[in-house]
Amino acid sequence: MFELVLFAMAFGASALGGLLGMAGGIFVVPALVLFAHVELHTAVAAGIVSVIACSCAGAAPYLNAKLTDVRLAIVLEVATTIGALTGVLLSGLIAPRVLYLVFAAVLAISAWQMFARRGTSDERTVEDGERAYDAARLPVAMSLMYGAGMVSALLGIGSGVLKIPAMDTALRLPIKISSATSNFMIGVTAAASGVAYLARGDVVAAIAAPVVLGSVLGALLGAKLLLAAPGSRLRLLFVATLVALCVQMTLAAFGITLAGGGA
Amino acid sequence: MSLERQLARLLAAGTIAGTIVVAIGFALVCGDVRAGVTVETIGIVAFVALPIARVAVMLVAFARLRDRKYALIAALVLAVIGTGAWLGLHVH
Repeated sequence: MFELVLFAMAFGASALGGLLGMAGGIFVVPALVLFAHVELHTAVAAGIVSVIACSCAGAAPYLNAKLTDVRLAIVLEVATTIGALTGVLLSGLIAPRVLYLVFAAVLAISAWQMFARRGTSDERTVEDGERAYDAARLPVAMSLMYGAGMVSALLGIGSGVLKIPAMDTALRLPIKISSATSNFMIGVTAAASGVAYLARGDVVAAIAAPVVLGSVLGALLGAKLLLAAPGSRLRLLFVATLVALCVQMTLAAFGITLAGGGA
Repeated sequence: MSLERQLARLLAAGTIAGTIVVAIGFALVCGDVRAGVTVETIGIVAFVALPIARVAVMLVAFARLRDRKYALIAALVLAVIGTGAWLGLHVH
């Protein structure tokens, strides 16, 4: 029964995320911790596996449309994977309540970005603008990617919310290429911490499996509905959910849970 | 076939295979069959291995193109992921 609840939660989170063309990973870990009372390290490990699955599930259309810059991705992945390993090392040292606060901060950033997201008028693909970015700014992008990789491993999320602005502002890439390339990199970034969590025994199959299954199926449904989705009201719902989770994570950091029971 | 198409095929096929295995495991667990958790674990390991296989395919493709710089970068990413497995086993 508990497995079905986990499945439904991941499915809902992922479908909601997919509706807005965003990974739902950011909802999954807070939901597991706050509502299902799963231990934080187990929730993060399950989040990481579901992030890998969603990245792989969504990659093909972007690749076929030549929106993914695979060469840029592999360069930046050096930084994201090293960041991920740093996150794995830190995860054992940082107290859960501090992680809750980091999570609350990332939720707040996501909410703000979703609220202020600009239009996607730039239709350039990788072929049109062979290396559309300025290589001199690569070191800045690499350091931002290192941070994104670390946050991904610590919180069990894809942290596309940090990767996309990094590519946007540091490399000035068109938003569609940033999104496609970010999604592509998320899988490898999460795999670096994923193997570590697997080897460490943090991945609990009974929890990770329903979460992975729910996430993949939810993302597929969300992407289908995206075509017909009305924009602004849904976006507000999304922002409201992020803000609510942000508040709850902050409260949880101080030992207060509204959802009943002790986290 | 372009590298992009090759990668798209690998990731799409891998996602379908992984999803089917995890779904079978999940169904078995819901039906109280003990082997279910093992099947779930196999599916999870397959998903974690999928992006790693993607980097390996890129490494081979760059090597074939005699693109040393990018082949080296791909090898470096694989080495970092390998270090992750080592960390998981030895550092707690």
